Amino acid sequence: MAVSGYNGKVLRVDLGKGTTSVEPLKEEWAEKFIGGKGLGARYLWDELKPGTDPLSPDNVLMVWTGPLGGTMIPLSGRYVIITKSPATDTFLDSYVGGHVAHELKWSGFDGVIINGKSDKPVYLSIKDGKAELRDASKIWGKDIGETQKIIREELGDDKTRVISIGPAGENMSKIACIGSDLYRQAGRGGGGAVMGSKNLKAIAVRGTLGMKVDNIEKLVEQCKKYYQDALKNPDNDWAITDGTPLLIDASNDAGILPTNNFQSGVFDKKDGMNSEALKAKVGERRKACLACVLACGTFSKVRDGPFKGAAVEGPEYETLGLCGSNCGIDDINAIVKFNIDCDFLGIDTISAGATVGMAMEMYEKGLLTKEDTDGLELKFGNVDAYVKMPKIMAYRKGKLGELLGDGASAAAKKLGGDAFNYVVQVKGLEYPAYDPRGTIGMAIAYATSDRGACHQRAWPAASEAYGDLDPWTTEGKAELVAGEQRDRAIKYSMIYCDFLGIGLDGMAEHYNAVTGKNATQETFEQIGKRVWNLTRAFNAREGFTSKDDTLPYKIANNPMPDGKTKGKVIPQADFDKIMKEYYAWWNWDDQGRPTKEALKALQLDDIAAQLSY
Amino acid sequence: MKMALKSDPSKCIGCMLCTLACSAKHLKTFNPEFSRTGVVDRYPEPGDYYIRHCIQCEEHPCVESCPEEAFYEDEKLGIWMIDWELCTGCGSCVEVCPYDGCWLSPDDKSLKCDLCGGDPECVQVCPKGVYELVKED
Repeated sequence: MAVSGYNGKVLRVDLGKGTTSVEPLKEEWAEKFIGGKGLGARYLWDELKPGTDPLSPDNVLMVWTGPLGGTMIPLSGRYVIITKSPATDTFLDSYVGGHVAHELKWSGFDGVIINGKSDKPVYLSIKDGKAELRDASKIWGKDIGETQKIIREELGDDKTRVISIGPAGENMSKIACIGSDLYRQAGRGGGGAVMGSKNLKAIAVRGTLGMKVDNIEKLVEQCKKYYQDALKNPDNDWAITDGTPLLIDASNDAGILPTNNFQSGVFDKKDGMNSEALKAKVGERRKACLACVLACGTFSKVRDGPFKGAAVEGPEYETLGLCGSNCGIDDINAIVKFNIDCDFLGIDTISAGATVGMAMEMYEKGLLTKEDTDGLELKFGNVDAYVKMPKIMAYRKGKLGELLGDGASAAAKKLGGDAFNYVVQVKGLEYPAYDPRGTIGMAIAYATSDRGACHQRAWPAASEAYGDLDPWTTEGKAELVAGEQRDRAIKYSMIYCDFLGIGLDGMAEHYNAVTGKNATQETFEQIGKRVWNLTRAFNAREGFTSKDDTLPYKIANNPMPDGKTKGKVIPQADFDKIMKEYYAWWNWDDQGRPTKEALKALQLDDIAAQLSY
Repeated sequence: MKMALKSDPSKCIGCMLCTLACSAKHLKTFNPEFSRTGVVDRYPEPGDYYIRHCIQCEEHPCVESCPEEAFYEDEKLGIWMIDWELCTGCGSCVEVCPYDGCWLSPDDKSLKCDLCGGDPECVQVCPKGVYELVKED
């Protein structure tokens, strides 16, 4: 009998042999790493040999849930894809909301581990403790919307939840995402390419087994109280009325809105693509993930003009920032069209917007010519060229598609010279939509995130750009970033949504209600540290050191031209000072690697024993 | 006294908490398959949520259709209930219901709203006020 909150079962799939099998969940690891990020990272450590090519059959793709999935716990409708990233060669964890997390728990599994490569396109169908590999030759080449439709028809069940890749994943683009429930994505780091490399088109999930917990009456009462409190809490109003697009105005005011490929932090045409514009022109209705009362999602549809009928759940803030202002685009209809094309072709919108923005700047400055762009007038704000870009990238169409198909970082590598001065990235992953020149902590968060430049592992912008903290001082910033990373490492192991305001004590309370255990705030603080050290150790094992925790050229050298951040850069010396403090906070060595002592203090003796530095 | 559940799908955000709370109440498990209200997300077209549940209709053809006479009247609430000891899962009630108001669970029992004894869970948990308990004297 599994511990309450877990099914106690893991599905293992060997694509090379075409087999599926069920194995018991390693309960010792579930206790030590909880679920999601931590548990997946621990499995990946054993499953993967160091130095594995992420697009080879030897890479492993995993789907993990946590102990909250399948229950009524607020904002628990998330699962994670874990693999080694083809974009960064680091550990990759990418979280997705919607309905799949619960469905997977109700199907009787806690996680899925997929090894090998199929010799022909297949999809995995999971239902109620069983699984089979099915022929996907007829859906290979289809977009993510069509794929869900065909799979549901084929399985004869419109409650089936579908995870799939589009053409970009099939073409092994390093910016390929994994689509889920049509409009949600494991966006970052190229997980879609890993599926494509394995000839795995989709994973269909259906569960009717439900989820029992330790004390359901008590849990339901706790949850009801939470929902009422959450709805009355003004801190949540942004999600209920607007969702993430509300940040466009806030970022513009703070001077950190990526504009024209991070050449500015202020977009003078932002009124065309901010939350007000979105609600007035394309917003249709609010949408929630399973077990969420906030409903931060917006279902949007273009009502007139050349993109009439284009519909998407979004665009979210990151998409508006990278695919809007960062490309000089203020036409909300065009952004919706670009967004849904990326979603259905299977490209991460953050990396896509960063890539198009970079190409636009290079074109305007003469580094790319009309010959390189196959005749496209690739200027900032040119809607005609802009809306063609998702297809060009996903299908690697023409010279331009060949250049940009793997994202901005890969393109800069191909171009050589000083091309890297035009791409704003860390470890090959393009920056999200918070320019550190108005929030220095974000430079540290991006540099030290375990999957390359990511805004979710720590988000100091909240207090620096939108709150009361001085956005430029180095004081206290190492601790701010490290503490958040620790707390989010446990948050992503339970797998809550980012938007649940909850402390370690609250998380422990939920965990105990579900499992019947007696975790405390201290237990969870320890586990958070353990998990963050584990992913850092994974990357250290792959050869990553402090030299990979970088500050992009533009951020260090190009002063902002306008707005609240006018004249600002992040001086390399300031960055280096915080980084030194940051490594010390974690008790890592001067190359930024977890020391054996640090690992042992977190009961990671077996990990420490396998490290050779 | 006659009570019934009413819903307005235009307010729905698709969080499915109603189905989780319903199954938690009736089955002590989180499992929408056993919920007596159903929410289906329909995207991209028509781009909405479809909600189904028993509306305690006047004509109640389900009651007459049942070959096992498993339906009985609850006088306190003024509604028809199902005795699961008698229900064989034949599906005749499902077939005759003009409102898509009942269906079979995975273990072949007819699922029909029983108003949770007069204080429905879905009404309590819905963050958007989709559900309403209507009372008539």
